[in-house]
Amino acid sequence: MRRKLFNITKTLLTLAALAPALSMAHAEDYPSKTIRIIVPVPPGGPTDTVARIVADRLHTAWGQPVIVENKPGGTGALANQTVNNANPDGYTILVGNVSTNAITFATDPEKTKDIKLKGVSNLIQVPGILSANGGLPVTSIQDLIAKMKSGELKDVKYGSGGVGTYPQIDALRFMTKNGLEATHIAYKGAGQILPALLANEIQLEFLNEASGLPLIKSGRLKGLATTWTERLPELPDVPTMQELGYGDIGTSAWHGMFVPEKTPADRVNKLYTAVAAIMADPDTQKKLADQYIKATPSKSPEEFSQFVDSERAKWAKIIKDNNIEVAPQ
Amino acid sequence: MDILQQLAHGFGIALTMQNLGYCLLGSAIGTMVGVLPGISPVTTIAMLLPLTFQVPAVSALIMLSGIYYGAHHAGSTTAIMLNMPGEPSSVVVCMDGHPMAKQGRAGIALCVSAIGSFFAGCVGIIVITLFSPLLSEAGLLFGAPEYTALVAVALMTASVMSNGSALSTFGMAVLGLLLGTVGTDVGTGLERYTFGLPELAEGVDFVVVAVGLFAFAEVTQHINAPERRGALSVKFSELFPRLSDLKQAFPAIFRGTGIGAALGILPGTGPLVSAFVAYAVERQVAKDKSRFGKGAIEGVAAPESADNAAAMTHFIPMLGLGIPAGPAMAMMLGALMIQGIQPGPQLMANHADLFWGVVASMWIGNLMLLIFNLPMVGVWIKLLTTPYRFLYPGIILFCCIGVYSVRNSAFDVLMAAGFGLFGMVARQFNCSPAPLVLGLVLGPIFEENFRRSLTISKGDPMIFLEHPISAGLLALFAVFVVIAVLTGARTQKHKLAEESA
Repeated sequence: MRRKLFNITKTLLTLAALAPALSMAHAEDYPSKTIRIIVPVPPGGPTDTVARIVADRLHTAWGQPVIVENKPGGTGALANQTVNNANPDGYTILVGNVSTNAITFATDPEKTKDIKLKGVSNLIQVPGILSANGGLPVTSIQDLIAKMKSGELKDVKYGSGGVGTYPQIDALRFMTKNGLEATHIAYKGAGQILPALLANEIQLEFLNEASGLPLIKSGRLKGLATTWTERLPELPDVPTMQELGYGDIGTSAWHGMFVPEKTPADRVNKLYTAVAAIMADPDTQKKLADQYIKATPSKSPEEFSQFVDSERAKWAKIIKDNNIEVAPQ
Repeated sequence: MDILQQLAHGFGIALTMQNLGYCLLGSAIGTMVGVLPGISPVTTIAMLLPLTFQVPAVSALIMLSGIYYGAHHAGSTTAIMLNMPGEPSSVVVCMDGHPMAKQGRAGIALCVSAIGSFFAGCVGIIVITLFSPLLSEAGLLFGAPEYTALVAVALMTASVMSNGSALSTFGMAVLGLLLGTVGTDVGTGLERYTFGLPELAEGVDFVVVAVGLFAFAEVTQHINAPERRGALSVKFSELFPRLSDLKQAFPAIFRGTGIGAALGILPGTGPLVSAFVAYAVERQVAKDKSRFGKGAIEGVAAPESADNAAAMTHFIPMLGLGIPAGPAMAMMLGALMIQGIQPGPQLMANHADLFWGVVASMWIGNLMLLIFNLPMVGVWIKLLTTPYRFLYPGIILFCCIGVYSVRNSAFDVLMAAGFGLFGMVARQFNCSPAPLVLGLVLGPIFEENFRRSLTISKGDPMIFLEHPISAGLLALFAVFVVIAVLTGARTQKHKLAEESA
């Protein structure tokens, strides 16, 4: 009896050991088990939202369970590490963003040097709005600059989620470029920033469109400029940073999908095809548009990888040029 | 009249078969999550969020809010019965709730907390109904200097938190403050005391510490103890509070409700801080302070009421202005946005159905919770007769699941085990964990706002006195210090007199 049990166990173990090898051998069998999507932020917010929408649709398309796991920690360090060390078999996927997969690579090279991920596709971009307290006596960006220069507007403070986050870097660059002095105040998340901005504790902040829009529409905040490539349909009177001559200052945070570097190309392509179809689906686009998020899938995995590389180079230069120090030297 | 009409309209929405069902479901899940130690409403809401994609927005919010306030309602059960917070903010109820259970007064403690929760919940909803738009503005009166002063007053209460020696109380509070500094400093972006571990970059999570210090330490406490055999014989007639108990509890329920309702409105505080403050206030106003920590009924009634009142009024910044005050509220905002509903100042005007439907459902949910909780008292008492060898393995399992699910981190489970070990040692030396927890919660809020205030004022400390609210709170702080010094001197004199006699 015991021997029989032992034999069964041995057979099962052998099968279990062979299973990954078998699935490796037949790439067309992918996916044949549960897929994990690792998200580097807590639940709520655009990164988590898009990951959950994609998970839901991937599950419908492929018939395999797709689980979203939130692993916040160290601006993506924990999630990046998890996916980096995972089996490169296409069953562990990261949905990262401009902060976790480009800016930290510039601000904290030590912690990110071993992270080797392959891009699958960009998913979304979240437009930003340079917002001011509703009572701030300015009508436009030009007016703001003039009044700050003349001293009519003194002691201007801008908020952000901390040093090294893109709203802070963008605001700093905006001030530097115009030769303006302003104080930076750091907050933890939108739950602290919004009340501070509404109460005029700070006067300026780059908010994402979803947070800022309802408050701008109700007159509690003023939208001075948007970071999108063209004027937002919801705010046709608010100019873009680009048309105001600020070029690349201002971030429309991108969120994209990554897998471990050694994931086989055919699986990456299969994943890309499925994700591209999901992002092109009108129903997905409506869900995203309802939250003021733009669907921006890449043309190919290669295009996304190139985009990420260019983003890292761009932020590395910005960090260096502005002497932004976050990681201990 | 207008409000009554609106509310009646809201009831029309909340009383549809479907929404009643979601309200019941939310309250039931909330109760379950509240009773199970370690599993917090935040993780539950995160897990159930995708399910709400398919249901109408009003039903989704009715269910999610039911989970939230339901968990706060039921969180005291395990705190009283097992000395483990069933939901993080019920740590405060442990302090007097569990001693009451040990004295065979568990039924009374459970009843009082159910009544207190219900009363506080109702008051909270009345506040939401009548003053939502007005009060969301009041929350904005609190900026960095005001929070600094408020937390200074609350931290002062750490000194009266436990019956231990002044030295051990102070030591545990300082340890809590130090633990609060672990993580990424929001002011500079630098990591502090993380030892290069990304697991520590977001700081030490409160759930991890609460589970370790309370649940795990409690379990280890019984390893050596002889197996208890259902010996706690409580007569049914003793399950329910007598008039004298209620007389003692009701003033505490009123005070706790008031404190909770007020502090819940501020986006920067919330149920947990409210519960701590309510407990401390109760101790301050009590004639005989030595009863606290040994089963004072006010020590259950006040924090439990404050917790529930704050859990209700915490919706105000979210519904009124679209401010995500805390992670649970952030997820509810997310749930609304996924449905294409823009939260913000216009929510009440543009989506009156949603607002009033949810508010009406809160009344129904609160009533359901009372019906769930009061008759269950007898069932929970039975729990005490379960031998530990059956009960505790299950509890440890749930705690591990709960801690793990906060951020899907096995590291956190190990860290909770470490805190369990520390808690075990601390108990041997009669060091109460409450001041540590308080320090951990309030320390970061204090530090952040203190530094933020000074950045705003460019280093001028007068900012704390120039803002009237913070000046008022600091005056209160000074009064507390004077009282503490005077009573301290008096007891000292007392002791000296006793010794010389």
